Amino acid sequence: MPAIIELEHITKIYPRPEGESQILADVSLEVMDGEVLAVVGPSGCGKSTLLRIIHGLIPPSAGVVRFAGRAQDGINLSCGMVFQSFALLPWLTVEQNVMVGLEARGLDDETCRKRAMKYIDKVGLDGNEEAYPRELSGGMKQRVGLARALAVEPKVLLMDEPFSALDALTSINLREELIDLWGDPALPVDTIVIVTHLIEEAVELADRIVVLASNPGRIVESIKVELPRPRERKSPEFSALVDRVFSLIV
Amino acid sequence: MPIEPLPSTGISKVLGLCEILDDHQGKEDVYRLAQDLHMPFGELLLVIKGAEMLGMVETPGGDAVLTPLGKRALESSMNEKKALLRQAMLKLKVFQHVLKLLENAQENEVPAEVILEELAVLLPQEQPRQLFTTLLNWGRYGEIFGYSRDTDQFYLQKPEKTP
Amino acid sequence: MKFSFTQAARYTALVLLVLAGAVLLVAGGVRYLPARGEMPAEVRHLPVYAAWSFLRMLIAYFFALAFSIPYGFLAATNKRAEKVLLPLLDILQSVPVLGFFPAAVFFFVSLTHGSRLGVEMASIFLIFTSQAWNIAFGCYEALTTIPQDSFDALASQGVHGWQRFRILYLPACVPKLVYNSILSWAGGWYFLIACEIISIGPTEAALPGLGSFLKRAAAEGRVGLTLTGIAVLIAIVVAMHLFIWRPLESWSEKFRYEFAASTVAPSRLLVFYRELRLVAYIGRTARRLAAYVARQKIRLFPPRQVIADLEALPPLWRRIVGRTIGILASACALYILVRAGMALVVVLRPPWPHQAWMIPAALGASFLRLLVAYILALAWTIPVAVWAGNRPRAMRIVGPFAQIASSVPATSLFPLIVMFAIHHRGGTNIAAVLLVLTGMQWYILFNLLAGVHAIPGDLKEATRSLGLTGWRAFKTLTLPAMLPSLITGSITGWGGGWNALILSEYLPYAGKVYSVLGIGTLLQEATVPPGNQAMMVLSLVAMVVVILLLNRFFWRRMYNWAADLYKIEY
Repeated sequence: MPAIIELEHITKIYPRPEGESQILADVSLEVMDGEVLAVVGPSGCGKSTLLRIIHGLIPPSAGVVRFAGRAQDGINLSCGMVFQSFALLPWLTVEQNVMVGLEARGLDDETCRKRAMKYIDKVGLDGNEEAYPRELSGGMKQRVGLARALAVEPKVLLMDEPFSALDALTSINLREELIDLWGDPALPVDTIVIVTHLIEEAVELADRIVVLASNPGRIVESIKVELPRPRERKSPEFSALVDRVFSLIV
Repeated sequence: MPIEPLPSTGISKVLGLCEILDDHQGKEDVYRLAQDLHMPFGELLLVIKGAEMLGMVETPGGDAVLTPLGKRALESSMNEKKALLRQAMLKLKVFQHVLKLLENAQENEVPAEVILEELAVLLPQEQPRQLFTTLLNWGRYGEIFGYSRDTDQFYLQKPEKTP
Repeated sequence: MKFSFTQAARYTALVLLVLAGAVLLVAGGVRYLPARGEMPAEVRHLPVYAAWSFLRMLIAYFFALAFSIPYGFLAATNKRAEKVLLPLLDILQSVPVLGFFPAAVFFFVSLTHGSRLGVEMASIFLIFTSQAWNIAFGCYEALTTIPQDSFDALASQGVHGWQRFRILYLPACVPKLVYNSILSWAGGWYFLIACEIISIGPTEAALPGLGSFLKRAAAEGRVGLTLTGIAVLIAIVVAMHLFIWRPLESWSEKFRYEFAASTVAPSRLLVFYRELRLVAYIGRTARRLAAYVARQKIRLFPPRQVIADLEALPPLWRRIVGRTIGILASACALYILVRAGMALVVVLRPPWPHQAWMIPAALGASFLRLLVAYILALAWTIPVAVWAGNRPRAMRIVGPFAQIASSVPATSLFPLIVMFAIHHRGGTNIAAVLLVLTGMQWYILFNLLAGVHAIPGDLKEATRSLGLTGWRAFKTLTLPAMLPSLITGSITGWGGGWNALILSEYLPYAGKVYSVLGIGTLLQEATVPPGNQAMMVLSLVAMVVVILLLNRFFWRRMYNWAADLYKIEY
């Protein structure tokens, strides 16, 4: 498996009135083509910042991000991103929210609509096209976020705490559906980077887990998850791995 | 038979509940479930009530038990799951009532206030706004009916076959 | 993409056109009134006058929008521009616009060689200045509070340039834009009424309009006619409220970011409105009309191809174009500054006119007048706010009443007040204080009502359960809790007061001028032919400096202190 994203010695420093604050210190990481990588760590370890640096939303203070072997400058449009806060525009309908990125790519109306409908259907949102975000429950909102990210047919899907703003039942439901979706061979995206503070979530979803420590954020360990799928949340192997990751964080 | 109101809860939660019950070999004590999930007991009861009305969960004694239908929904693909839930919803009196209203209406659509008034008459004990929201969210999931805020119209969704 | 942003724009345009058209039709066509100073105050001319006033407001408002949205946008999105534009806006906002009126008239009239057009331009400019800052500030505020995630999400989707402006910036501004437009129109009416009669050169030029009508009717001592004029004005204001601002406000709810659950309880005021059958009916009709208009596919925005071509320009070119525009704008600004500076130097070259020594005393007298008006305002608004704010039912009456009362421009009442006060001993001073009061009180009342209303019910109940009543309850809970809003209200109230001052101290009535010593009088006297530019500028500068100093060293500190100490947080 070749690496699709390579981070080389990434450092991020923010200037603060009381002095500089270092968010990330010398983080080097490879994301393999086709893997699901989970980044876990305590709050304030810079995992969300790391995800935004991968996407090119934030420039690193030092270090290089390579995508498919080429050094990256600015936003990488081969990535799609799902946000913790959903980040939907409240004045656009579900369909319009999903079409935003397609319009930006200059596709004609007909193609936009068709493509949007395809992904609205895939995430189970059909019937909600005309709804505005505020009419939807949290779970449905995040489906819109997912459909929007998938609709631009990215090579890599970046997910920033996608289920953290949801209640326990909804997040279980969405996680299961994400796994189903990922098993769908028709889906163009097969590489996923997911940032989470829930260790169970990481163990359930990921092929590999990268553990970050805070102050400043740095990689502590990278663990391969070799549990067979579908994973049994109640199995002893699952619990053992959760415990191991947990011990690395605290 | 009196018309049962819809509990104000979402389909995602109902499906999540089925998923949890499946993890617990299809059966769990409701009180323990609330503790495990760190969920307010009252809220969980609404979810269970919703799942029960849709025939996905039964509640003998203080337990919640996954029904074969619930199990089937978990194992289905997205579109099959939506079809299953649609069928389950159409067995409910409230849905049948609103459906009939829409079928008889011109162009199969009516202003939202008509639905609100109808709900207030059918279920005088309930909050019509809240009921409206739940009905709409369920109905949209089952692709039974929809609503456009721009025109303030409630309409029947055409059953279209998605590829 | 079907995007109903245009919906409101079309609807508003339609309603405005219909309104303006209706007024004109009733008037039997627009007749440009011929001779200056010969505008008969007759009831049958009222529709024409109203139409003219309305048209002036409309033109000024469109200029204000055209100015404010780019201004707010630039200040919010460009860090370097923000450093200049924001403090500038702050100053512009706190300066009494009316003080600039004589200068503006002088400029525009000489620009057009003394024609009627110049006077029209001056009055429109003045209305513009009363509307623009507030809207620009609202835009800036709305844009700076867009959540970072929205930017990230759009950037992640590859959205930039015009598309970003269209789907993020513009919609995000809408609620503030609508809300501040309501305030701006209220401010606009206030000035409009004041500025339709202008003295230039040897004659007094009156523009056809409600303001000049009212003044003339009052000067002729015709109470009935004056009241009729005021009634027409109120009718227009109320109609605009019902047909334009209400529907727009409820439409703009769609563009609000909200982080809480979707079920928001409608405000009491809204419920009150909805309970009125007629209003409900009108609202429904308006909504249907809006939906119908929205279905008509008219492209308001430039065709997509043009935009795409513009955006397809290579980055270097875009930068060159951007830079060029920036440099040109800066050059223009610099030129204006230098010219203004030179003009100032010429005007202010000593020896100063002997009246200049009266400025400190005049400022003191004016300040005292404001203070008296302020105390009067507090004396009635605090009891009313405490009484109504604690009683939902009273609130339901006081709220809408105050809203309508405040949107009636106080300037329209000036002639009436003058008519009655002028004949008593010390009447001019009483009139001046009353006039200032009309410009002050509503701001204070509104802020107080909101403040008292926002006191958490738990605290009110706790106070009662502890046995505190009457004065004690007021002292321990109500007064401290409403202090921040009292100060906010006072700041805006004093702003309104300074503005009113200019019109309040110098009262031409029935061919005679009644005046008291004050900065407003000095300003107005400076414009009496042949005009005294040095005095005009000196009084203006003195007043602006006093106001800015007061704001910076008194009100702002008061506010910080009160907000720090008495804000209720959970």
